[in-house]
Amino acid sequence: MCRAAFARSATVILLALAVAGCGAVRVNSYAERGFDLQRYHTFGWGAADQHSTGDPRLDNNRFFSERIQEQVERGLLRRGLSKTTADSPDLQLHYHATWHEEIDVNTFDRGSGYTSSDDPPPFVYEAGALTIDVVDPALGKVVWRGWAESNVSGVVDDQRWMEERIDQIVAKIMERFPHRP
Amino acid sequence: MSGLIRWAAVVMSASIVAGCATMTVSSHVQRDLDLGRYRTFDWGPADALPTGDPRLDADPFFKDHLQGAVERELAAKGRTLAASAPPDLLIHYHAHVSRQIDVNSVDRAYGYCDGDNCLGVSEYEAGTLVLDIIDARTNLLIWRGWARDSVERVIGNEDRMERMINDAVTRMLMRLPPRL
Repeated sequence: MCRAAFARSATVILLALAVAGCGAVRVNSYAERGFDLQRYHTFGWGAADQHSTGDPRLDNNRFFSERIQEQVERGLLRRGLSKTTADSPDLQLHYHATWHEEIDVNTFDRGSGYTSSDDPPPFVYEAGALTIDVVDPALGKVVWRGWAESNVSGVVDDQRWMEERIDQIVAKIMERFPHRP
Repeated sequence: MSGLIRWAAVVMSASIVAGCATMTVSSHVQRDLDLGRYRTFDWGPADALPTGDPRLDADPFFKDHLQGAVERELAAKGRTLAASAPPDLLIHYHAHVSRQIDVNSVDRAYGYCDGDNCLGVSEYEAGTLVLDIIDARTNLLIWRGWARDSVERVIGNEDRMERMINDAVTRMLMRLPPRL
């Protein structure tokens, strides 16, 4: 009936594509003017995000949330900051992830720079976005925000692959976090 | 290569098409988990999240049938519903219905495409059923399974719903690590 095997191999091919091109991670960040990492020594997590990710597979899913947190922590530990569970860390962290479907009408056209009647039809893909906020509780302000967006089709259905993608995406965001001089 | 890409995209889209009704089942599991020590289970507190569909929220058949299917499958795996003592495992489910977008790429793939059908975009109802297994002592999620499928013409039809629930629960719980 539903050519599951076809779909599977097609998925594999699409995954390969996703890695090659359309799965590229778009990443950016913003730092409060005068943000100086030297003034901070500890970090901790703020209250968990109460907003839905938009995908019931990921809401209240600790296999997803803990992986993100571990990777963010790794980036900060590398900066010489230390994790605390005390009530008043120097920097408080928040993250928000969203997952939703998007239609791509002509990715490949844009990629190759021309169009023809042979171009592939539009297709639906899963888009994921992750925002990491670093708050200075003393100032009550976000002092740094990093975010990334990517095509993540099929990722959630494969735990190991999801973990790899989280590692990769969070690492790209955290690359943009300032280093101590 | 471009032929391959096209084929992949077409088949990928085809697999999402509502008419095809392919159920996708997968799961996440806590690593290095010793499942052998969990003997009993019970239902956790009711879901506070809305399903996104009032027909399902108000459907007692859905809940009864789903719980029955899960209890049967777990019993077949040697787990018993806790009677009086606190259970080792808490089971929790969440059902979610949303509108999903579909692009009519199948028509085009087979060359039926004429005029507007080429770029036709339609919507269908996609249902996701999430089943959580929680360690009752630590209150931590140790396993989550889910099934997604088109639920067009399923909600409100008890026979179709029953078949779909049975299929979803069986396939989800097949993914439990062997020792449970």
